[in-house]
Amino acid sequence: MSAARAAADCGARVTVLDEYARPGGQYFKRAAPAFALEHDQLSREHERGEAKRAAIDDPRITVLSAALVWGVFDDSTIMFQRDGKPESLRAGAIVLATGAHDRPVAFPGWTLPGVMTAGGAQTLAKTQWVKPGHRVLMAGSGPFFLPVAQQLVRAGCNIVAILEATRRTQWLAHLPALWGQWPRFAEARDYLRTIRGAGIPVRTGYKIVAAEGDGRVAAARIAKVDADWRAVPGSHETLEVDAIATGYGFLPAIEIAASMSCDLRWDSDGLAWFVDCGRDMATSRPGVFAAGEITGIAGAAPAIEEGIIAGIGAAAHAGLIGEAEADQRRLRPLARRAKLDRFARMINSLFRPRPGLWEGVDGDTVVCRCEEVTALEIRAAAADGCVTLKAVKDLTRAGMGLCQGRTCRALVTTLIAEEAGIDPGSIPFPRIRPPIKPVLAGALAAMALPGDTGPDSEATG
Amino acid sequence: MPKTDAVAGDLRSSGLVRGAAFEIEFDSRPIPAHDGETVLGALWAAGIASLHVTARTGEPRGFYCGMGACFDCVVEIDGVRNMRACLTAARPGMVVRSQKDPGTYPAMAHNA
Repeated sequence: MSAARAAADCGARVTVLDEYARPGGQYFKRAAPAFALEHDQLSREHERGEAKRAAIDDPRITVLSAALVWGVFDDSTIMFQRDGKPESLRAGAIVLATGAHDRPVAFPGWTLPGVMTAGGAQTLAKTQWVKPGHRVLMAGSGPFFLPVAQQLVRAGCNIVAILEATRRTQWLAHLPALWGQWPRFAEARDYLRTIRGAGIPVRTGYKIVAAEGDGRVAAARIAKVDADWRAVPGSHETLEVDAIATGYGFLPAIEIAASMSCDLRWDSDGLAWFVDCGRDMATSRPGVFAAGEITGIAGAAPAIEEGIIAGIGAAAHAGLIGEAEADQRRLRPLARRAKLDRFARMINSLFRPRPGLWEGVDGDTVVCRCEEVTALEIRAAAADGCVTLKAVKDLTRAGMGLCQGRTCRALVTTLIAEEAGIDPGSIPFPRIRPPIKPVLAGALAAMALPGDTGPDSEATG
Repeated sequence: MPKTDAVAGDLRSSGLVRGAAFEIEFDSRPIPAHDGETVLGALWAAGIASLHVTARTGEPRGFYCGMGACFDCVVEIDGVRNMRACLTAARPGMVVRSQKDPGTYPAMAHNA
């Protein structure tokens, strides 16, 4: 939203293609207007989200919601599907802000109904006001559990415990990075007040080990962990729960950027590939800019600044403003972003996944959820010489399902790295080809191509 | 202030006004829904935990990411398969069916 606003402010005509029903991505998601919520049911960010949506309600900005972008060609032609119909658009410049999703974390029983990501629990509670379960366990690492727990409490959930994998002693070295980040303190205090008020135990140095149940989750096995997040023998406990929400960080949704051959960079804290950008948020492709979680997991505040910077760059590339004006406009968001980045880097370092997170990923624990490929099969393929994602996919089908590897790709990468004894960053991100999400074959068939004549041709774009 | 729990079993939070009430159908059963809810919201609130059954091992799946990335929550909606319940708005008279994924797998030996 901030990129659209910034580009429009430079004189651009902007089209926003959003896969979701209303703008705001994950951070500013809200219940449908049909729900009448009281003031104390609205989140901290609700007003800001409404203000941002209002700011893009502008004759220069067209928002196409529920638009599934499935490919971008020649750095300028965007193919998308809306309401089951094929459409396309040509753009003078493109800003990609495709966000992130929760890091999938595998353990025995993780495919049982009722095991979900923290983001999934949050979406259910925040946009639907439906509880994930009657007794919820939250397990993860990092501050994301704070707003999720608050939302679940507001929705009437009984959270039996929050497990944070790091131990308090691990936080001390990172304290200096908190200096100057006072808004974050106020935020954290607000969340913690809700959590303490609800009497929810927060257990540091604990992780989820397994989910148990028949047909749906009925219990969680948890354990104390060491500094590497490996389970401490003899510390296991079983908790009766019917929902488990895991929040162990995020993976960027870089598929469109990768399909366009944008340069990527490996982040060894986040164990993920990100879109490589310069200060002006330009990618390696001409006229293509990136903003938000796909350039680095940093949360909403830096994402908003990056959006502004990217929107300015896009407008400059399209010839609407000169470079000097672009530089001038970029000064303030760049400064704000620099200040916020220090905090984001600290969070990403302190709460980075440790090797113990995948020590239980073995045997018949499913790794590729879509194709039901087990850890044993993947480890065997890697030990047998399959050291790329493509090789593992070709042999085991992992990554061939509906989600196109979004869920298993990072897990398979860590398993290959473990089995082959190589650095996960040396395993290249796979080549991504359109369609980057499943689209209806009928919609593709209905597309008019250059040179088509006859009654079935339809105008597109 | 947290609102008190609603009717036991229904996972909907109480204490708020939802959109207009209607029904959708899931595997021929009527399921309550409201304007503004997704198919997943309505089904999960009704206690339906299994939205599809996997092809290889026949295990039930509910939802995982809740935001359209993982495709765990796929259901057949008004005749179209592989629709993500988490992203699809519930509409009056919608006919939703659970999927049992097609059988390319029975012929495969399950390596173990």
